[in-house]
Amino acid sequence: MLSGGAEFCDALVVGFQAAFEGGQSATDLGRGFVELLLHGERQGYTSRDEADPGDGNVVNLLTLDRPEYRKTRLLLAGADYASFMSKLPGLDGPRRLGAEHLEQLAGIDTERSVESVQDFAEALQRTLLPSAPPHLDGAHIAFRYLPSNDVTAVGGDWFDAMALPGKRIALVVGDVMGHGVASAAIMGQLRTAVQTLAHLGLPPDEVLWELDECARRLSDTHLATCLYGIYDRVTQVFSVANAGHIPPILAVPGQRAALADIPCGTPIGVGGHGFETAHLQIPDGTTLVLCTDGLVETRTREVGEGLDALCALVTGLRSPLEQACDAVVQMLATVPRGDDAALVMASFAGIADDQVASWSLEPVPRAAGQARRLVRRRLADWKAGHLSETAEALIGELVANTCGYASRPVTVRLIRTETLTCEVYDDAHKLPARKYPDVLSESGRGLGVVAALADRWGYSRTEDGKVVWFELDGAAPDDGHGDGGHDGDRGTSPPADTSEESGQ
Amino acid sequence: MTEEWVPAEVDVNRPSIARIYDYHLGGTHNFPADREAAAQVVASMPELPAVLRVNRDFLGRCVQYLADQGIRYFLDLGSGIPTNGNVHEIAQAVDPSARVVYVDNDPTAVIHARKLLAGNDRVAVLNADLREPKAILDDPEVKRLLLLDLDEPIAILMSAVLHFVPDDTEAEALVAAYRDAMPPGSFLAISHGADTSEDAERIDTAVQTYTRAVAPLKLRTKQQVGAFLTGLEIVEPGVVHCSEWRQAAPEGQQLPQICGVGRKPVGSQ
Repeated sequence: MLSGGAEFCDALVVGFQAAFEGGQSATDLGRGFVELLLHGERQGYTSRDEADPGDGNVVNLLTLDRPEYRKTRLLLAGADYASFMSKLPGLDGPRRLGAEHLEQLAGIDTERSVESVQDFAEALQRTLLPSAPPHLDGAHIAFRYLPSNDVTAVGGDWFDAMALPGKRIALVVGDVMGHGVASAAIMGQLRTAVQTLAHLGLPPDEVLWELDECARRLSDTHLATCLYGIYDRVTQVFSVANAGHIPPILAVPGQRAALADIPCGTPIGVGGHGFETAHLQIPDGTTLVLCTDGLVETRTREVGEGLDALCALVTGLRSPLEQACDAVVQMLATVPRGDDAALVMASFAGIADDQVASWSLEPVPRAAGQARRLVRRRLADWKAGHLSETAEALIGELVANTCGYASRPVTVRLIRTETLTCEVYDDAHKLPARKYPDVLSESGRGLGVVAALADRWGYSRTEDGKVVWFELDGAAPDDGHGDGGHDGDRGTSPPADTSEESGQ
Repeated sequence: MTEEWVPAEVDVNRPSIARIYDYHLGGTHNFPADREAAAQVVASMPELPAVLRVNRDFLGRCVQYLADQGIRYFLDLGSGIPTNGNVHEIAQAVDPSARVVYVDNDPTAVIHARKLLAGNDRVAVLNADLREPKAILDDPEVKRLLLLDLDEPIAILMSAVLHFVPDDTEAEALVAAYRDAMPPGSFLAISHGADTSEDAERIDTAVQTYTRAVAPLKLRTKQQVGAFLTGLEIVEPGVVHCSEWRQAAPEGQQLPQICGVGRKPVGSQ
């Protein structure tokens, strides 16, 4: 018995969805759908236009427009169905009609499934953005992302905060120009690229230069603005380069917050222009505010006006950053927004000079002994003698590793915060390789020892060579054992150690 | 000369000790105000340029001697604008790994020194006043390069600078602070404008001219300079005229610049 067109349509959709969920390709889905239609034809159904009422045995494909078939409509559009059908040879009569219906359907889908595309794009963008502020030592970071209210205007704004070796913190904010899924996808690619470049230890101008190169390889149709900066907790300097983005706002206590005066640079994707790194001294208590134009520019407000308002809002900031972010969003962000908007607020804790020590040593065998003695004395002064044994051993390994590779003096640096950070800088560009020494080997064990005994370790390139670093936890003043722990005696009579070490 | 190199913080209208010294030694890092002051001083003391050259020569022989003694860490207090035959050139000729920290309170001297020394990993220039020994000895850059915590011997050079500390008590106290901080085996080298009895009136006029035109100047006797080396083993030939130190002295009257080098005994604090 023939059943109604609507039932046939239901069966058709069920079959189609099953095929889709089975992982069929667009072409196979298309072919399968045609087969279903032909099967219906053999059963006595015809497919025809609604405007051409028939005898009742009609598969009204427009039934697909019912809400419960939304997903199918999307699938059909996605498979570029009509286009496939039109290429089938010998289409005529009912089959041709079917093809026309499907073309119409695709049109309807484009118009009516915008909501779903919006869901998809937002989901994509959410996936590509950090979901919560990262916990970074020595920094408070709060951020907000506000999607556009325009359903077709999913944006390409992004931001990032990451810890870099050497007690440094990288901040990124960027904005892929244009809207839509493609912008969001490009944003995800650029964000990944910046992360990778940041962890290669490149300075800001080089990160943007490489990002520009990368962006032009990825797409020749998208431009982006981007601000990349590194805050160094030791020097308390924010080194930042700009690719056509809104400069950072510095809210220094006791001063009116203002845009930092840094070179602007061309947007990412333009190519051929270098970037400049500016160095901003960040006094304690300063809040750094980064944003995208969507926050300050609206249909009724110029960028400059919005930035003035933002500066006024963050001047004399006292509230915690999370609340400050909410306040700024509440005051500035208009509803509806035509563009997406990002806001990042960061404040940092610098490291006092007396919690940092550095020495320049010759890359010769006796330097390992010198380094051990210097580290021992300094840790005794810091009442962190309980870390001395491990720190000395590992620093000695790293300094010894530079012999025969480095040609210029090697810098050993200790930074004491909650952790003890030990770094060895040299001018050899060859990165360390972790070897697997055989049982009797007398060398090649250094980094294995570092990896085994340090809480964290790593290496990165620097402008002049590389740095190998490790960290030991439990260095905060109250972690010490008061009298310098079991190594306390060393702190009181350091010269006594010299003879013991000088022969090494 | 062009004066494009002048940094903003330098007042070219006030004479500077370092730039006058540079002028007398034939350098080009000086301005009309310096040359005018130099001319006034030279008018009252025609031998001054020769004195400064003798002083420079002493410094060269002294650094060579110290490097030959195995010293690899040098702290040059009141270094001025680096001219030919710098401390680091002589020391690094003996051992390329020798380290030198130059200290001067004159921004011109510091900026020029930094420019000249850019790229030399073993040399640093510190803008500080030698009258603040603690600040200098605790400076991270000094500690980084001279590895003071290692207690290896260093050399502290005070070449033609202590006579700009007119107060005797202050001069003695600050030299003592450096002496005390030096690890055993370290050397202290001093050269100083000499208060000789000959021609006292003329010298006095010259000192007054210098004080008025440039900076307060206090000449000291051999005995006073020797007292700066208290507690140290004085290196032969002792406290002498600069031209007599470890070379055959030239004929005739010695120029009024004296010097002495002392070594901190090993086994002392």
